[in-house]
Amino acid sequence: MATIIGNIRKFLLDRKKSRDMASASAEMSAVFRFKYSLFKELLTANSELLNILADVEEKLKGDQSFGNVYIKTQTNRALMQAFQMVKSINALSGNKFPELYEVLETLNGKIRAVVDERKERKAPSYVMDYSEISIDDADLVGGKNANLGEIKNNLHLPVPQGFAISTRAFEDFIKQGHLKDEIIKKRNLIYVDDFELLNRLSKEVETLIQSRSLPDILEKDIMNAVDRMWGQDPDLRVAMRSSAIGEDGDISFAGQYLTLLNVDRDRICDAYKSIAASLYSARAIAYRSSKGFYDEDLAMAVACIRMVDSVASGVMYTRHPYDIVNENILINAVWGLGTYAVDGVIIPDSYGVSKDKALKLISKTISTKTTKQVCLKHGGVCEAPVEEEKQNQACLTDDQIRLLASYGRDLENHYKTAQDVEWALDPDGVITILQSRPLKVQAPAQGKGLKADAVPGYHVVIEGADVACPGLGKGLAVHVRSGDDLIHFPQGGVLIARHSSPEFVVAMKRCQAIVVESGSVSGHMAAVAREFNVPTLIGGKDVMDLIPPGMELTVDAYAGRVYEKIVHELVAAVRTQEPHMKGTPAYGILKRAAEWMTPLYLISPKSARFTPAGCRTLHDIARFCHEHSYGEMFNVSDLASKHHGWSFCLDADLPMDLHLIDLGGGLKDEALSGNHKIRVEQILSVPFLALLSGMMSPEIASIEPRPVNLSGFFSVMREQVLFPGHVGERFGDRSYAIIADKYLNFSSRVGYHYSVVDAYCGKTINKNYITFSFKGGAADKTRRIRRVKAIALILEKEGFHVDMKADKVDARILKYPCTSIESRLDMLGKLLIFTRQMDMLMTSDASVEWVAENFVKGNYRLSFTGSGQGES
Amino acid sequence: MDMKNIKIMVIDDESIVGKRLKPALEKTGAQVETFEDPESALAHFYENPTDIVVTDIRMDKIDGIEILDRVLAKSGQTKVIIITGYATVEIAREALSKGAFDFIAKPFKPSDLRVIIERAAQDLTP
Repeated sequence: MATIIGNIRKFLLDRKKSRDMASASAEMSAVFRFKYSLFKELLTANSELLNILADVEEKLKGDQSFGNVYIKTQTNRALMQAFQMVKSINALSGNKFPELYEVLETLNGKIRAVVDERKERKAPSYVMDYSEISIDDADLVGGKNANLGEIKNNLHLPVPQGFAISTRAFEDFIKQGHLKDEIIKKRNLIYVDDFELLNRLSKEVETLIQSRSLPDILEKDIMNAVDRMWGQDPDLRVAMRSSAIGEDGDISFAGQYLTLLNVDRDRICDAYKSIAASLYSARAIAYRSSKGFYDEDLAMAVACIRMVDSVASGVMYTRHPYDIVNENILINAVWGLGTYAVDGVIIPDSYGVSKDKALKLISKTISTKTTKQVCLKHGGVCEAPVEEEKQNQACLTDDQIRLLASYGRDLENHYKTAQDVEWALDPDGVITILQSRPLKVQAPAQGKGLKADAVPGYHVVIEGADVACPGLGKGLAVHVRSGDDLIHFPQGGVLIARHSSPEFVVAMKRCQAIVVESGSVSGHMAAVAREFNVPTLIGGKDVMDLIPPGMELTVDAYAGRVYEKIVHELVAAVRTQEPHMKGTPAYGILKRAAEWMTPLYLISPKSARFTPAGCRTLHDIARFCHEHSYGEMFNVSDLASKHHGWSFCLDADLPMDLHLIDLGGGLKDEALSGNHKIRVEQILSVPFLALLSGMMSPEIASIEPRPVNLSGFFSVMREQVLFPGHVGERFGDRSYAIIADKYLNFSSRVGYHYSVVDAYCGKTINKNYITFSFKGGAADKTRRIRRVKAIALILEKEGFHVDMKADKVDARILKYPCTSIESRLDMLGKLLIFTRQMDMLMTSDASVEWVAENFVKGNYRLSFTGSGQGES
Repeated sequence: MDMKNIKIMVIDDESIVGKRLKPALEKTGAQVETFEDPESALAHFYENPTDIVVTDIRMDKIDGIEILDRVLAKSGQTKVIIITGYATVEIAREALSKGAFDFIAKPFKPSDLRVIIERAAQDLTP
């Protein structure tokens, strides 16, 4: 792999000779841009890969349907993202980790072997009646059809009359029209951000599909099915619904493809073509492209269902989506067709029914429904007024409500997971199930206006937390601040920490739940938590203050709430059921493929096994590359200090000469064309501005190093006399800020201290971080160590993960929102200036804590009088 | 290397690709030539080797991997960037191990390709 991008350092040295300053300058900027572009690529791939792994884990809970296409697509995407990371880290590091390619190739082989075991099935025919379809046929007829077949044949509940047009029909249609290559070719021309092109090509593909006639046999099969089912009824109207592979999964989103209502007999085949073409609507293509899905794997199936001019329709949840003590069945209803109940155009009736044998009607709220959607006689739908006497009347009788609720109960029992059901009442008084899919446990914020009240009689400690892994946990709070705390984590404790860390995996088997102050619901820790099924909340600041160690807790990671004491009502509400996908062949394949993808074995970078050879899964590869990418970016400042003379100089009131290198978007354009002096107003880099605001803040700027304690001053002097060369070197160095719009690498030798801040600060929480390193100094060793201790204390108090070795401190903070990153950078800016006076204050061990406390409190003007007392 | 001195050859049998990529890649400052016919592209390359070749992997007459082989046989310095449709680890690995500088999966944004081109230019030995 030596060909892919050579070693930057070598490159620099080769070219440094006999070059004038101007071209050296241009080249240096290019080198930094080079590194930064690789780094950004790596971060993006990491983020994508973690999202894929999270989605795979979600599927492995077993309550969402998926088939071969999903497995094939997601495993390939995960492998490609991992490849991207391996490529980037090698390019970034000058090919330090070529073994990663071998590791990835081995994983590729293992994953492929599992995925390819399952032979692709072909539908037996173009048209399949619901009587011959079950849930296992999702790859043949799409999820929607497979579900309707399952409900009809295995639950014996009323579903609409109709049939499925299989994916085989679609494939042969595309094949006969020689459409595939043309479509793929066109799709490959589309650049997602070019909307004009996207729209044009999407239209071209749609027109192309509609211009081709259906294969004769297909057309005949469809019309035969229509005759067989409904005879020659001239008033026949059907609904034609897309039933795409992977619909409602990650490959597409609900409602993305076309549904045509009230289609008459003559237009059925045209409608089929329109729905097939909707696979290539501009927004469907844009969505797939942005997610990295390939059209090659896609196929559309269609549901052809007799249209009934429904009297009433609506949605039923077989339980509350996140209030886990509320087991009641929730039904809403509107007059006419169901679109308005789903879209929220009008306020529907709502009914609550107990999910027990009695099916007791518990609540009934009747709203005023002034309009409805109805079928037009000659096709299509329109809005119509509701007759006045019906506007305030319930859409369903009590008996009908209870009957529908009993269907809901049966559906939930069958699928072994709560269901989100669409239903309709036809003019004959028959209630049919139009669709049933797993009810998504969703965060209260997206809960469609539903409320989950806190269980009364308990003290709520945390409210409104983000759910990283849903579930319920109970136990005693255990604060985790260090690796030691994890090793000694007690069985059944609730892990409380400032920030999420994949290192928590050490304690996950013993832990009941996790509550952290900050982190990302799609980060490494959340992925691991889902893998171990540990209920996990991200609770906002103050979690550690609000939950003292030893507090008895119930963590409701459905509603995003933490209670003091054990909430027996919640504990009793959680039952364990085996969701319906478990036991299917597709589930088995994904489960085995996932063994090479999702687990994280590389926990600590300090471990001897944190090596390419130690990577056993794609998650490990991601972790390894991600970890090393920080190191590679951290070191870019080494290059800067070796090759100065080509940067911009910051014109600001700072106790140092600060030179700027812009990688793109870090400075206003005007700044680039002017002279080499840059003013603060010309800076655009978000993290750099934050750091500067701290460095230049008035309260910190007014302090100067002042030797108030004689022995302190002498110690500093002695060090300078003893090691003059060392001092000269340090003063000779410059300070650099290598910046981009969201990136900062700041390195400085302020006074005698060496410090580096490397940070990314953008919209994607998963990409944000700060790494900070501080070393050296002019004072004697004891003072240097004291100072580093004080810095470590301050950083710990600010939520950093801190590592201290001799007189060096390394700290890191990951996956915080942009604003938190900015406030930490502001603090670091102050700290960088503050450290200038620290040597003088470090007269005793007691001074360490005192200095740290004062800094955190905002007392920067310190003079220390010895023996643990001080004034500020 | 100064982008103004960089020569790029784009080979794709779909004419619109060249049409759209040419102006997008010229934004880097480099000189860009586009070819729809891989054979005449190669013939041209033998006469006037370019610093960078961007080629589609799947073309009717000659595929991208063969282009890669022939380009590198003629000029080992040239950086070849492969455009792939359905990207898999096997394809990516094959391209890179045969000496491709990098690859990019369709559909991509012109700016993504630009970043790779700039990196390739950086890696050229002057």
